[in-house]
Amino acid sequence: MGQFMVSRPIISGALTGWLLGQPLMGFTVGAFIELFSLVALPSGGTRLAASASGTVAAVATAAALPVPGAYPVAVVWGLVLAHAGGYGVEVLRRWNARRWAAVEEQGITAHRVTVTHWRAIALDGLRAAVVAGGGALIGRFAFRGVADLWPLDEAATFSVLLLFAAVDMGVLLKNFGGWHRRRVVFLFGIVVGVSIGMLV
Amino acid sequence: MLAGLARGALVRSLLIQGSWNFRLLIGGGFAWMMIPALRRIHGEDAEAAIARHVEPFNSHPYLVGIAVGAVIRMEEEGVDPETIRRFKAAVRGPLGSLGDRLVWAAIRPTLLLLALLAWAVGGPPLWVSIGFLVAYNAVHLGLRWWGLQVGLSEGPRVARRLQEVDLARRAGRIGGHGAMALGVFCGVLVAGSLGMGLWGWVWTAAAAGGFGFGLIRGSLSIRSARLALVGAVVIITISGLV
Repeated sequence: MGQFMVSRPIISGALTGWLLGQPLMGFTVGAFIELFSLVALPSGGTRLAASASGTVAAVATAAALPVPGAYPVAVVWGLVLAHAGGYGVEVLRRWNARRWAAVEEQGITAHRVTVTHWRAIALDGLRAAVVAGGGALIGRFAFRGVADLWPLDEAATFSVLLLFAAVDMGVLLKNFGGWHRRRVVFLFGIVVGVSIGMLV
Repeated sequence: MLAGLARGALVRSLLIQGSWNFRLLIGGGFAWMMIPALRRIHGEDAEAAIARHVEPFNSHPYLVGIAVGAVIRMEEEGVDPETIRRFKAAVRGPLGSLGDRLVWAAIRPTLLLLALLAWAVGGPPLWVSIGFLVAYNAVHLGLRWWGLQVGLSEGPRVARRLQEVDLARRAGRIGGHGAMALGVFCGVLVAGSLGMGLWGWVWTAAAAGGFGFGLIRGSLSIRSARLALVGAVVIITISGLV
C-alpha cells in the first residue's frame, strides 16, 4: 500500500481517524505529521522514519485525549514513534540480508525466493503493527493527564506546531533547488498565498 | 506474449521492495518478480535463470518497469546471461537516482504541498485526501506503465530513450512548481497570522527565522528542530501547571 501513498501521514491519519469516529481529528494530526515528514527522501539505504505506524499511533492517542492538548502531544508522540520505528526498519533490512545470504548458501530455487520475499513482507507488516498498536496503547494511557495541562487554545496550538514546521519548509525549498534558483517563483508564490489567505 | 509477461511482472513490481536489504537491495524482489516470466520463457530451465537474478540490483520502484521490460525482452530473445547481468549493473544507478530526483524529491512533495494547501484554505479533508490519492497515483501508475513500454520497445538500448526524455530536466521543472506551491502555502499561513495583531508579526518573524535556518542548514537542521519542538511542547505543557 505504501507504493500508492496510502501510508502517508495525511492519508493514514485520516483513515485512522475515520475508523475511530474522529475523521477531522485524524486528518489534522496526520497533516501536521505530514508537514514534518515532507523533507524525508527515502533514497538508497537511508534510515527512514516509520511515519505510517507513528501516525496511526498518534491519531489513536489523540482520539483518547482532550483537545487542543491532544494535538501537540499526539504529533510529538507520532514523530518520536516514527523515528524509533525507523530503527526497526533497519533491523529488518539486516535480517533480510541474512535470509538472502542463507538462500544463496542453500541453493537458490523459485520456492525459496518466494518464501523469503513473502516472509520479509509479513515481518514488515508485523513490525508496523507492533509500533502502531504498542504506540497507541502506551500513548492512550501515558498522556491522559498530560494533555489536560496544555494551556493554549486551538489556534495558538496550531501556530506553535507550524512555527517548528517552518524549518522543514526551508529544507524543502533547498530540496526544490535552493534560494538562488527558486527565489523568484517562491516569492511570487508568497504574494499569491497572502492574497488567497486574505480572501479566505 | 512479451507484453503479457511484462504486465504480470509489473503487477508484482508493486511489492518489489518487500524484502529490501543491505546485501541485494531490491535484487531479491527483482528475482521474485521475474519468476512467472522466466518460467514461461525458459520452461524447465527456469530455476537456473531465477538464480541468475538473485544478485544486487537497485532502481526507483516506479522506474523498475524500464529494467523489467528490457530484461524480459532480452531473456525472450536468448541474450547471453553475462550481457543481461552487465545491463542490470549499468542501469541500476541511473534508475535509482533519476527516480529519486523525479518522484521523491519533486513530484511527491509538490502534490503533498498542494493537498496541504487545499486543507489550509478550508478544503474538506475527505476531498483533499481523495484528490491527492487520485492525482498522485495517476502519475505513479502512468510512470510505471511508460517505463514498461520503454523497456519492452528499446530493450538494452533504454539509455538512449532516457537521454531523449531527460527525466532530470523534468524533475527540475517540477521542482519549480513545488517551490511555487511552497510559496503559496507559506503565504497562506502568513496571511492567517497577520490577523493576530502583534503576536502575528512576532510569529511571522520567528517562522521566517526557522525557514532561513532550514534553508541554510538543509537536512542537518532537522534533528535540532525536532528536539526544539519536543522541548517547546514539554515547556508549554509544564507551564500549564503554574
